[in-house]
Amino acid sequence: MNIENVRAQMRKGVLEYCILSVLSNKACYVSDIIKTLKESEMIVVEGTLYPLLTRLKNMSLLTYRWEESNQGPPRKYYSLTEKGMEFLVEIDKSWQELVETVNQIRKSN
Amino acid sequence: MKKTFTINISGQIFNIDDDAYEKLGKYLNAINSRFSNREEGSEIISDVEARIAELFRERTSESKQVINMKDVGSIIEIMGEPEVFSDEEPVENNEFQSEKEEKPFKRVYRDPDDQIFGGVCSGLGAYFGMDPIIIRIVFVFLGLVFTVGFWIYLVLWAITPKASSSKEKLEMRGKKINVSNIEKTIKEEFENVKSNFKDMKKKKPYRDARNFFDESFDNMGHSARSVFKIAIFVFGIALVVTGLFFIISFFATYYSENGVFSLGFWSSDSYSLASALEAVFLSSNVTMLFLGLFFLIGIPILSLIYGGIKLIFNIRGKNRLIGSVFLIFWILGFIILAVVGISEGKNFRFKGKDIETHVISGLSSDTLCIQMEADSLNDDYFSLSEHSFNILDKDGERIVFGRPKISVSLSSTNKYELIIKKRARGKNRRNASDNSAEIQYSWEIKENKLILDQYFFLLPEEKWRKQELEILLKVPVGKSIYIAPEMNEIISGAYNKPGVPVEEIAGKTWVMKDEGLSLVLDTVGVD
Repeated sequence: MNIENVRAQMRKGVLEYCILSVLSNKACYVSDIIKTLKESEMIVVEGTLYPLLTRLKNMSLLTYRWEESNQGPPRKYYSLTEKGMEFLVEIDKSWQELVETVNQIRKSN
Repeated sequence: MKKTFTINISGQIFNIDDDAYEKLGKYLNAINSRFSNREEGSEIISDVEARIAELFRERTSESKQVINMKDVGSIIEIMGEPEVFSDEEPVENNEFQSEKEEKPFKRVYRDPDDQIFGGVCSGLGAYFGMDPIIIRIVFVFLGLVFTVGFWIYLVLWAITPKASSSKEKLEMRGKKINVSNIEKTIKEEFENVKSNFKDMKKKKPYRDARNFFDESFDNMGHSARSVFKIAIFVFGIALVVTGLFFIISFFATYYSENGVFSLGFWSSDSYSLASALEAVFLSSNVTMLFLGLFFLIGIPILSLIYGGIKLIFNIRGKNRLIGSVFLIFWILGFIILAVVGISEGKNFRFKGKDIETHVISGLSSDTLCIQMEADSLNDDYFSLSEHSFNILDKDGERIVFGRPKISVSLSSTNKYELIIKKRARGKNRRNASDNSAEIQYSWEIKENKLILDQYFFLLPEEKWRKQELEILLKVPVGKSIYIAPEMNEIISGAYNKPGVPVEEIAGKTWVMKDEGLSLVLDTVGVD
């Protein structure tokens, strides 16, 4: 177990949250989501994203439509559903609580 | 100069180097295998391929029209190793990865390009990296000197697959790619690329295999079900046939001498059940009896037939009504039999008897010969109880008869006494005694012989009421009797010195003493 693995584990937990957050700002192409997450160094490789996107879609938190592209195959254009919005609000709360709790524990030492 | 493949990813055409193609193929296969067992798997995979196509698009241009190893490598870097694609726990990816990629992959194939018979030797040569000629020499040697070589070759021929695709040919030789060999089979490989990528495009190689097994099991199930249906059909027919057989025999043999339900079937003498019953029961009761029996035995058989018909014509559904009807009639049969049994049973409640005493005198000698009349009935008869119930059909007339029993005892007077005891049952005392009086029996005294009839008879219209006849012969002291041998069957007892079994009484002359009969002569007949 090296530090990269620990990091990867931590990131994995919040990745879905991050996807939802990115989409809450505006609807995006998959590649845009990837770009945003890469810029903030949330993900290093793209492969992790695809199963998560599909799962979130199957949970009806996301939806997509196909957009034609002049540079190749049609692309998926994702957006957050209403249910996704509500879900995100809940997760926001949980995230806040988690951050506070962890900081609490750190400070107490 | 390198060779390229033309591939199709997410509907886009790309040209790709052969080594890059191999690497890409492995990568995509690995990802495939991660998701082939999941529902959303195909969706994820198509998303991934679309992304890969996008990335490829970025890396091709007028000046660079072909995807190379570097491109594939960078794409793998960007997308991530196959492990990261799944939601499962990240595996220690290092060992896994190296195992898959680094190990040189070699397999034994038969080489179709260099075959004399089956290409076994050249295939083996390719695997071991030696000239096939050496292997051939070895086989010839083995074949000629030890014939087993021939068989080994045949077995190898059978079990070793032919390397038909380029991939297989590469595997046959290991990772080393020999360009000249590939050049020999350019056309073949183009075809293979198309079909290989088509398979990859299907994205569910394992699912296909599973579908195949599913379908074959399904088909097996179908055929098994058909076989089962046929078996049921046959069984149904068997049931119907058996049931009909029983019903018909029941009817037919109830009234005739031959068949399952006739009395003769179970014994050596035959008589029809119906006639036998008629001798006992009132005719009306006999009909009822028949009805009751029919219900009792027939209903289960009928339900067998019914079940059989249902099976044959594949009629589903338990028709409750029919079942209840069957049950009701069966119980009815039971009740009928019970009622008839009880009402007829009343006829046997009371006992009655009729006793005649005759004094025998005027004999020509001191020895009374006791013998039986010759058998007047020569035919076979049915006997339920020898001494009571036998039936015979003579000239269309039913004759019920029985054998008398005879015993010998001491006379209280100085005369021979013949006592005929007739016994019968009836529904009241008067009836019983009337029944007993109506027993027909004859005997006669001729010179010194007492000739007894073999049987007693019932009057034709008389019903059987357990009629019995007992003959008691009383012998005074000092007188003797000779008991003919044929009396053996009906002697039931004789007042004699203990120690002489009943079977040994007949055929001898006895003299009556105070203590009982005592043997005089052991000869055959004083005539």
